[in-house]
Amino acid sequence: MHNRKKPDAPPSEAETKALKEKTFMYKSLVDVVLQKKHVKDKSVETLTLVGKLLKLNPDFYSLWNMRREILLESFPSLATASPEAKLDLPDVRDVELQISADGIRRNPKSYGAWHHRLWIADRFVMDFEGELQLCKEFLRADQRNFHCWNYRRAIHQRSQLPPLHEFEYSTEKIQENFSNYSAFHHRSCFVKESGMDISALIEQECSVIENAIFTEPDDQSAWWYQQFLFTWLLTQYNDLGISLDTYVQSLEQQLATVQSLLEIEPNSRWAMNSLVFLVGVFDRVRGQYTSEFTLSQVDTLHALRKQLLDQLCVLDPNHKNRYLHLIRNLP
Amino acid sequence: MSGVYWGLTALALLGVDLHSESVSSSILEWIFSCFDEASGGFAGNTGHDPHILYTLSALQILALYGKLGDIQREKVISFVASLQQADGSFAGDKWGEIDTRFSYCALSCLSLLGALEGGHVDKEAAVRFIVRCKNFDGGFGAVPGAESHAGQIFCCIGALSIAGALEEVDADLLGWWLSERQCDSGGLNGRPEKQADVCYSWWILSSLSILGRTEWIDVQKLADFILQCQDKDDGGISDRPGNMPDIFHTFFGICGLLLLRHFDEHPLDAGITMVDVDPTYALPRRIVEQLGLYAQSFPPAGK
Repeated sequence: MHNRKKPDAPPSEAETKALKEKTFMYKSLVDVVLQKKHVKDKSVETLTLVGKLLKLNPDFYSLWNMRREILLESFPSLATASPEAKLDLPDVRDVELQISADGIRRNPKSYGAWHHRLWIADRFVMDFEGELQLCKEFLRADQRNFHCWNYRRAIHQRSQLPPLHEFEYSTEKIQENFSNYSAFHHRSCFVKESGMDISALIEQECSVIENAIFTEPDDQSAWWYQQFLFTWLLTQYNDLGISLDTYVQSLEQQLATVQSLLEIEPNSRWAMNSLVFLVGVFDRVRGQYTSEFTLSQVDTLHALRKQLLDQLCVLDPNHKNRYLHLIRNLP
Repeated sequence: MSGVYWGLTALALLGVDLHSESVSSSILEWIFSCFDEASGGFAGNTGHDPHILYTLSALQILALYGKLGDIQREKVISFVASLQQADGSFAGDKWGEIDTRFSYCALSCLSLLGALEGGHVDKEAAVRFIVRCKNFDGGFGAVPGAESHAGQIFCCIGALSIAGALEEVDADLLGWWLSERQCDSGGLNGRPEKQADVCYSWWILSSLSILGRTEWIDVQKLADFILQCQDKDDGGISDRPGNMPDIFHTFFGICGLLLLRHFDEHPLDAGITMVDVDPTYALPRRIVEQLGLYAQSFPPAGK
């Protein structure tokens, strides 16, 4: 349904014949399995047939249900299993995890295959490290697979593994590729768990952002992470144990960094959008700031923002109406 | 069931009178063959298991036919209600997969059945869960902590629209993020750095429409992209130019063009009058109006 190229020529007679045969084989297997479902045949034979069909089509959601129904029949204690009361049946678990993995390999975005895995994880004693390794493998194949990222976070929640691992994993993925929005998102979930001294953390995160935006100014991911960082720090500075002064210093440094980028990339609309955003943050801080900003400082930033928005209307006409909206709503 | 919904609604939007189709009675018969008496839910096909996704699709098709009155209303309501969890989220079925897609399906089902009020589900808790799925970029993911994705965003915005809770949305921020989904090709992607895909013309345009910010993208470029995705041989629409068309992308491509008001400037010949689509319910607007369905939206942000 997605990403299937239209062939230049209609299928040949041989191709059509092969497809018909494949379809017939598949449909016959479906009919057998659905018949077994209808008569509530919960035998091992059915389980095997269901596994075979799932290999062909991991998106056939009722099949995953059938597997679970049969497991519940075979292992009555499964009905009351929970994260607090797990079954220690590694052989049974491994069969299910293998079928799930086969399903994921067949369709990395199969909701059914991923959910079955989580269902197993909540009821059987698991090797959580092994699950994280599996996630690593799948994210190597597709670093943006949100099913995998979600599953990884779900496993993390269920394991006692330190959040720092997740923070460090996000570093690994970002270093591989700055355009990995999923990794930056993951980082935003775990940055509060870095265990670092907050000033060192701010410096580090700003350095990550700076690296990315100077290397690939057209890639959105680091710019959105910048937006996350400065919004998060603004709402959390008290709890994080930094003073508003320190926050404002970081903000001013960031403004300076982006302005220096703009000097070498004068048409970078992301740099311009970033400055507009940062001046907005500056406005939000002003109300809370104890020291006084000189009027000229404020005027300079406001003038810069207005100038940038005017420029963006010309440079980025696709988004003109958004810029006009922002201009209309300037304080 | 969803495939039938995409196909029939696409036909309805093209102004086809579904009742005149001889296949209609078999479709309705088939829909009811997918109803599971025990649970009150509808399955994706005969002999399959009930699920909230296909329950919504079934109700949507029945709404197209004006046959919502023919269902076992209390049973369907209790199926939907049974899926709400303690944290306000909704599972897809008894097996417990949680996803904001199901929050949307649940609220839309109940709204279609006139059962949103009446305490069948905890609406406030449903909203609270959706808000927990809101991210720093203003977008929404499948579960709390999940990355923002245009499809999930539609589901959350749609759900909040039905629940009348759009004030939970930072419309300027989300509007910005959604507007940045427009690629050089003019098409929209679902997340940063991904490829454009026609179906996002729906997920994103409907969200922007509800938020009153459709004009924050270049509408002409998007319309051109959708049109480029139409297969000149068989008339279907694919995910991107040169790919195989399918019913899913055809439906969402048509919806996208309707939300872009494309047919106002470019009416179709052969006497086809396009029917407007409702961005919250993904049904013809006149059906939504006939049923008196509630949907909150923001007025256009203006230029």
